[in-house]
Amino acid sequence: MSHLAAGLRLTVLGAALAAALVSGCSLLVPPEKDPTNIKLAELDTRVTRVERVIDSDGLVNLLKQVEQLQADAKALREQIDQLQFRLDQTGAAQKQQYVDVDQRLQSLEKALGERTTASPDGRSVLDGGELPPGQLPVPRGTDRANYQAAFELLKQGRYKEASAALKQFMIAFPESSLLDNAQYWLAETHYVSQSYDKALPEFSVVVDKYPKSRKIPDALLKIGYCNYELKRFVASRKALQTVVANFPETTAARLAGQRLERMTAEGL
Amino acid sequence: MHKLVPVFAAVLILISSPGQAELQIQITEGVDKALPIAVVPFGWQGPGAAPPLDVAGVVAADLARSGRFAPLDRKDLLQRPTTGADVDFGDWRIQATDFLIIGRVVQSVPDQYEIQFQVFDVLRGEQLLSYRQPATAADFRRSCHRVADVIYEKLTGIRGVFSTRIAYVTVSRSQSQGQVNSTYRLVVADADGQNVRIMVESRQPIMSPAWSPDGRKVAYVSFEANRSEIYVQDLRSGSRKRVSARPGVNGAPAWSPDGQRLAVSLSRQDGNLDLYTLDLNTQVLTRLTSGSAIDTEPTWSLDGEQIYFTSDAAGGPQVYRVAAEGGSARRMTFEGSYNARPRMAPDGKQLAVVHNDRGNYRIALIDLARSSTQVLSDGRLDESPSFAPNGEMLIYATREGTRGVLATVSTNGRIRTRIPELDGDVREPAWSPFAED
Amino acid sequence: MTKFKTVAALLIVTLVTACSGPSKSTIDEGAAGAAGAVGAASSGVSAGGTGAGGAMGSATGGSALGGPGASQENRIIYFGYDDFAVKPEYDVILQAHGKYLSANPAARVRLEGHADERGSREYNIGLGEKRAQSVRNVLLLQGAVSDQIATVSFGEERPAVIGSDEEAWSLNRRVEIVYGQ
Repeated sequence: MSHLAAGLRLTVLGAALAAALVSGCSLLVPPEKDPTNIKLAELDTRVTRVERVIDSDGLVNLLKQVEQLQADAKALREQIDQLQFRLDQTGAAQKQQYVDVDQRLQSLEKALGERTTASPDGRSVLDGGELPPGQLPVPRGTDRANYQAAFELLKQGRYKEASAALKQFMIAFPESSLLDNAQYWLAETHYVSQSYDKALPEFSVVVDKYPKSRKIPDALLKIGYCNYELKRFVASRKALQTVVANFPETTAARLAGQRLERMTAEGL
Repeated sequence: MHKLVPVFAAVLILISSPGQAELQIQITEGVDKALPIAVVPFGWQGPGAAPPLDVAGVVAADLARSGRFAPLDRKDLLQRPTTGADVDFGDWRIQATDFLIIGRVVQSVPDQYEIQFQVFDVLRGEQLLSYRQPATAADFRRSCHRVADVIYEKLTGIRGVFSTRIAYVTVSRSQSQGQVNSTYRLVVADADGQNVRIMVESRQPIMSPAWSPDGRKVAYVSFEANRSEIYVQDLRSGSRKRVSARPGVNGAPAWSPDGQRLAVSLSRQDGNLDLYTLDLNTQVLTRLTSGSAIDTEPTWSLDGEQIYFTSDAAGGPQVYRVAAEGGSARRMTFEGSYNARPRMAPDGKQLAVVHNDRGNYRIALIDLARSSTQVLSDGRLDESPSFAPNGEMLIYATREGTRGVLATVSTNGRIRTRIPELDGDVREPAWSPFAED
Repeated sequence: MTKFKTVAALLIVTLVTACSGPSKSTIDEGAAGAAGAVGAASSGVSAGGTGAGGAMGSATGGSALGGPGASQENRIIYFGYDDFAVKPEYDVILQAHGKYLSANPAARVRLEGHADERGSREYNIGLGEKRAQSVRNVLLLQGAVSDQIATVSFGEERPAVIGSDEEAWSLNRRVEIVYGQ
């Protein structure tokens, strides 16, 4: 911008120089008709115009606006960067959760599979893939077979159906020894869907209703995780610390310890 | 202007200056359980007078400074054997000493020494190591540090850094006729702060010392021409070359792992600080970043393929990564409002940065795989972290009152030492690589 | 190029004024001693009495506000933390400096950017440079020519005030306008 003004000024000066040389300081012509004077007056008008532009705060104000826009652009970039980062993190966490659930399901499935084949009425509703998608398994056969059927849905990632099937199972077999596990996996269907506010009370039921369940450490761990996601860090810490203190040497305790360390690192 | 020009100008280049104020290192925090070790004063076998340096004293101080060992006080030594035959393990067991080091200095020809020493496991009553370290009068102190290196590696499995060096900048201010005069010095010392040598002295600021990968040269920024310029100085000869004096900022030199290029931050005509690589042989300048952001403080990945650097592209300073050939930059740090001046760890997996920790500027480690942040230091204005070449420790600048002092912290955060200088304001420490010679 | 411009300008001024008679052109680089007391009429370049204002801009000399005679406080621009935007309160001062440079093409100024001690040193060099560039941009828009302005950044290396509190920091985040060279 200033280069422009400077350039213009140079041009003006050049013209004046030429004019001065041509006219050679002549005094033969009346001043108002002197081409030099006319030219100068004309130049004067133009220069005044340029000066007015420079003198007004217009250009400086524009510069400030540009600087402000640059600062704004940086602030926006910061927001985008942070969003991208959180997105990547969430994606990774989701994947980890999936792998975690998948592994647990596989091991359980294996254990159950062994037991189911040994039971007299070993037919599961899902045998032969006879269940059309979206339809709930019918409560027939043993509690174990039904439990496994519901489980199969969970394993397939059909969380809504799994949730309904587990609820159905708990109503149909109120005396089953698998109730605590069903309750746990019901909570887990919410957890893997990241509905932490729904998962939390369901995990709490495991702890409150089945105090002797083998699922207690896992449920407590997940209570800690849910509270973490819900940003209730005090409650999260409390649950995780309970796992570490009461169930040492378990995978749950190890995971709880890791999360506690992470929270400390995050200053929570 | 862009040629390599040896300069012998208004700046004093000093190769050696004995008698300078030396650094003293204090351990401010140690590990829970430092291993008890006894370092017996070394014997002397030779025609002339013994060398002026106490080998055992230097070795014991080195081992103590690592925080992993607790040498027995010399006055508590029940016996002072200098050969293996004289060692009575029973006595040492009573003193609850885990390890024992004995040795002697042998002179064969004038000015040629051999430091012979043995390391014993007291509990098992067996010799772990017997070693002969050659030495000359000139490099005797360095040889003592090498002895400590050998012992440290034998006992911990980690290469010792006692024979490495540190470079740093000091400023001393004096008042005359109401004017404050500052003297800036680029100093190189042994890793224990002793053996101080002033490399450059100037009335104008000196900044950003960086060791070449072979440990023979230091690049730095000097304002001796009243503007920033980058120099490369050979430590042994003291001769130096001006490698960058372009218009605007010439700053933040960082050597490529092969020692052929410097990554630098230049503002040139347009006034924006951008990153470039400068080929030291061909003088070819390659631009890596552009735009209005401040891009500076580069550090190389171990393979020389990537450069990590500070940029304020998103407002506050954060660490980014760009390919060494240029390209788009990727942001690496997200925690906190201030993450600047990255330095690559020797294992290539972590960066040390200056991190704003609730209003305090502290040294933190960024784990590149997990992108997590671990704050290591506890000062208010800590800066300039530099890794020891074995990756066990970081040296950095901190404050004591208004004075800058140097401190170290182990990368696990457990061991801290402070290195108060006797005079001047100390800043910008840079730990040398492992010495080749 | 700059030299050529300057020479051409002086030549023209001489020619033009030679014709226009009574009003005499004085070329005064705003001598260092002219602090404060120097009025606009008695110093600086007067482009001649054509009444046209002249190509060099209206005659503006140094004053307590701008130019080499500016008082100490009007030669230092202070900045916010980690910020390099020029605050509006400096508009008047910078306008005076810009006008002076515009009116005195031979005048040279050096903008020395500084930062406070917090954070890393080379990043602070960057902040000092950006601050100097911000001031430079304003001066250019006020009519100064880029060749008249040099910038240098000292980062946190040359504090104006030694100290580690808000007050010292705010006094150290600055650009100093230095005439001469």
